[in-house]
Amino acid sequence: MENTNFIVTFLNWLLSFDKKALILGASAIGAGFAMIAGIGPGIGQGYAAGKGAEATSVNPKGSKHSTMIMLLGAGIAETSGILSLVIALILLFGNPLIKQDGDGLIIAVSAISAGIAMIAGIGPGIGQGYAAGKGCEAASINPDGSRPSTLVMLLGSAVAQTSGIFSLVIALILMYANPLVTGHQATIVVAASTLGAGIAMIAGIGPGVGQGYAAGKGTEATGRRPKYQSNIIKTMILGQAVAQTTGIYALVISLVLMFANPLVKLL
Amino acid sequence: MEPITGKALVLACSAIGAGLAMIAGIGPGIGQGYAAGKGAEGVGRQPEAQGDIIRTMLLGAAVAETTGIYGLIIALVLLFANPLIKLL
Repeated sequence: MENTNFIVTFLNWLLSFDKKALILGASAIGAGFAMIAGIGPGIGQGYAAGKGAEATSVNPKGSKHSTMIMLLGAGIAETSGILSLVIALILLFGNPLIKQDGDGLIIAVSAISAGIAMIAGIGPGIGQGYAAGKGCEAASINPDGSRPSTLVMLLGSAVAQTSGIFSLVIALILMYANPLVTGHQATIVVAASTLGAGIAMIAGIGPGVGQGYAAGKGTEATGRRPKYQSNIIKTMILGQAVAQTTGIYALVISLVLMFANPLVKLL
Repeated sequence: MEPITGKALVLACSAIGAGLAMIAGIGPGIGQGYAAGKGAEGVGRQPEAQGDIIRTMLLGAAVAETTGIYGLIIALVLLFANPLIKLL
């Protein structure tokens, strides 16, 4: 009898393929999703480049110095783009999923989900780029205070990277040790949970952008008043910690979906 | 319509993946545009420093281009040197 349920028809159509083909196809889509993270560093580094150009016009003599700070900050803003590239390259050239035993559909969804998780890299990219821009602005306005302000920029940018790293961890778990892959009845629930685990991590965009903004403002303030560096750092870190909460919520939900899924037990 | 083979599925998904990868271009576009704007502003303020300003702007914009190039590379790999199809 022909099944009229669209999803069942679709899943049956997918499962009519060889397991390998399904996983490889999903890996191609996952690699594409991962690269979307490049939006972040692109915006952030462009902001830094703009601030670098501005700094050159404000203080042409100090332009070498502010350009160095711009490049340093932009290099850090590149991290999440590179992490995504690594995930895409693993999916394309060293795919660990293809060797896994278990349900083909769930393994295939793991590949897509790992790519989607990396989209969070947009956040740190934008935020760290903003901090880099503020770093060269600070150096052009007050060259004497550029050392302490650069330190604040680096510290704040490191904090802004956390949500990008959370996503990387989830993507790596999905690729190398997805606990959902083996031995379940309810394929659709488990496959959807795997997808949900990746989608949840997109929340990391927010903390990344926000913490980067804080890092930038901290850098600006230190550049203006280097004496108060420690007070500024304290305030910045405290605020960044609060901004991290939603990123941690996402991480928790993602881990619950994978390791302690309550939905599967309800079936 | 002829039946869809596993190879065709991987190739079709590769086409989707290549398209998705290019979405990254949003970022460098916005960022470099901002840099161009600030560059123009800087030259307006300090016309004699035009050369230095353009140099800094282009250097920064080149850095901002990188993630767009990463996306392009992944798309080109998927299109012209697809490693997945060899695993089938």
